[in-house]
Amino acid sequence: MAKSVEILLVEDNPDDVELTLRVLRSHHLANHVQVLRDGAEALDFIFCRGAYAERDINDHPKVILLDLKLPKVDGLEVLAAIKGDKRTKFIPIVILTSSKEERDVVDSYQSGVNSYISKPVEFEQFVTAIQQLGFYWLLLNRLPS
Amino acid sequence: MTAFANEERFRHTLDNMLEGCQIIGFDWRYLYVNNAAARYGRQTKESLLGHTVMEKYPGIENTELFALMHQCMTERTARIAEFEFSYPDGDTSWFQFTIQPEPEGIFVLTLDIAERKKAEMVSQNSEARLHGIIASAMDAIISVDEKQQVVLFNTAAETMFGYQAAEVMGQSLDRFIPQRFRQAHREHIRGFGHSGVTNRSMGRLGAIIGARANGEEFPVEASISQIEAAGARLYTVILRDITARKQMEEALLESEKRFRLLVEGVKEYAIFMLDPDGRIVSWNDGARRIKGYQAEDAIGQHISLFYTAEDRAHGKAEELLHIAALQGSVEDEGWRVRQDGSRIWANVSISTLRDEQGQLLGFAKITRDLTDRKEAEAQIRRLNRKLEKRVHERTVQLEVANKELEAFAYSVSHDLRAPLRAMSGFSRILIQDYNHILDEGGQHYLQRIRENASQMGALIDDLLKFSRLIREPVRRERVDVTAVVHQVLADLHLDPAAAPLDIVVDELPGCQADPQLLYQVFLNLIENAVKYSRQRDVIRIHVGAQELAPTAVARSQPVYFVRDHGTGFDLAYAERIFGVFQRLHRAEEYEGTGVGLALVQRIIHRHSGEIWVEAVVDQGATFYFTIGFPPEEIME
Repeated sequence: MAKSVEILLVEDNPDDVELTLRVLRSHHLANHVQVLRDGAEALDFIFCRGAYAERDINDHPKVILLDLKLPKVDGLEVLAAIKGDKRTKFIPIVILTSSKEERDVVDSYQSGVNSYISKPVEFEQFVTAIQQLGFYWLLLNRLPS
Repeated sequence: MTAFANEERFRHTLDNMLEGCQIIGFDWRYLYVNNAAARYGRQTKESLLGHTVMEKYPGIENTELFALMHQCMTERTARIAEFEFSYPDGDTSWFQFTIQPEPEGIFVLTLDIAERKKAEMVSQNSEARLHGIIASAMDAIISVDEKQQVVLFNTAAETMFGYQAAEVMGQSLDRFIPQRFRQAHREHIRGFGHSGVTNRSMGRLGAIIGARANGEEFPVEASISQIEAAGARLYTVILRDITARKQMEEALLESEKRFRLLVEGVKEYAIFMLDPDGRIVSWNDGARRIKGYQAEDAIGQHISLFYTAEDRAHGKAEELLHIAALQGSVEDEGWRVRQDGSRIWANVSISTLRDEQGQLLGFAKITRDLTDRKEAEAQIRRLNRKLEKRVHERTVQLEVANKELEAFAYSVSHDLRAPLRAMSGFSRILIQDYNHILDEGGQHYLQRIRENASQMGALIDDLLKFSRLIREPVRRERVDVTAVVHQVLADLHLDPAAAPLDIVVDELPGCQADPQLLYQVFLNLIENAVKYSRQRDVIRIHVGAQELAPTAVARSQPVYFVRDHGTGFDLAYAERIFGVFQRLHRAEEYEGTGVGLALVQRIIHRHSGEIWVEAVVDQGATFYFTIGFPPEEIME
């Protein structure tokens, strides 16, 4: 059986994927990062459907890093689906997005997000942000067993 | 014939005379009494004869009659007198007594004058009554004889002419007539005397003018009558001073004329009268103008002539008149038809006219042509509908535009940053991972790419803030401005290497504003002040407020200011500094996006406030602004 996914990164921008993975890797924060490129794929993965039908639904990632603007199904819908299902609602979800719109922040929290981080343009700040969130959610945060 | 026979005949004659005859002796005893005397004395001959007068009529010795008889007894001279004789039973009757001496005493001849006395009394009474009437008459009564000399002048005549009756008795009538009328008047009376008419009114055809003692002339109404008494002709003139009546009549005529002129002259209102059946009886110029009918075409017509066919069918005119008759008046507004068939929108008021007894005389009708107003109202309604429609369309367009702008801003927010992050990130990675194969020039260029990406990130942030200000409502609340400024100072990112900061914040008056936006205003202004003062040894900034005096259109309100002593700028550019992307300094000198002051101005404007600046090159700049009153406060 494959090793459990530690971080599920749902992000359609390949640049952001590459930069995020580089930071996570260079700081040894995650060995098992699963990258998904749109909202539909993310839902399939979480709810073990389609290509991920073989997966165990109780095998939760430690954190989901979720972009808001996604092809097919957008981030807020994915968030609402996961948080609305009692099997998955404990999975920590961090919105990681370019948007600084207040509306997005409010909507996300209303759907039960655990954290909202807007990605800084400047790389140094971006590095710091990813580093801190990885450190917190993977190493410090404790979930019910 | 014998003496006896003669005496017998005399006695018989005397006995049967109509007059009472009696002979009374010196001793007052009746010596002879004829039948009439006994009847007048209400006694029998036998009861009288041989008895004294005092015996038969006790108390007689105290009467004038007795005194007269006594005189005759003693003085022996005849007497005639009329007395009211009192009988013992209290009754009285008038007699004429002729008393003459007789050898044996006195002879008394008694004549019954009761009837004559009665007639005299009546005549005296009626004269007294007549006199009373003449004296108390309101009209002047003057009688003249044939020579036209005054024989009667009553109290009213005294008052009217200002003479006492005594003054004018026997005088000519001339003095009561002004000089110029005297001749005509004399002839008039003479003519009247020959006419044989006993009375007629004088002066019906010509005005009769009287003259008072003081010379004042006055109009009189007169009637004259003539009587012939004892062969003399008497003219009696009855005069009434009609000065007051004449004046009243003239005043009434004058007022009537004024009123008629007024009504006829009114052009803005049709004013006309209707008889009780609703037929037109008068027509003014306004009516001609408004209704189009000439007076001769209108008068006599029924009021329903002006109503539309539909109103006529419903008997609207009759209904209005009915209501007016019931309530005293009625008002109506509606379409009426002119003579040429065109329609007017009329405001109609009908008032009922009644006489003192409450009898319906007719109606007064006032009509005003409100067609222009009606059309103006319709026009306003049309324009309003058009305007509403346009406003609605614009609102929809605006909403669409707003939505598009929002979508655009959202997209910018999401999508524009990602490439910049990639540029910044990969440049950094190049420097980190490939530093050993990059020379100084390569590293410099990569650094420039990163700096530009960062600058563009800041630009995007400011632009989004700016566009959000257009889209989002201002949420006003009571703001402690001093506290806001202190919060700004606490949050200020200061360059540790920069010159020391000496900032003075006065106690600032509060205002109604969106606290977050006000924070943004002070943040931008203070950051600017710091930025443009950084070559100074000490950065001195003053944040304060002054009171702006009230004007005719605005209440007094505070003016907030932020003053620095930095580089300042040429006021010629003052207009430009509030424009988006406008900069007065080269980017190498002072970093910035060129959006900051535009953002400040937009916030102030969204608070109905104003912002302006004073600056001197190399000496500093002061930004002033006001926060306007919320719309609902302006309404108060």
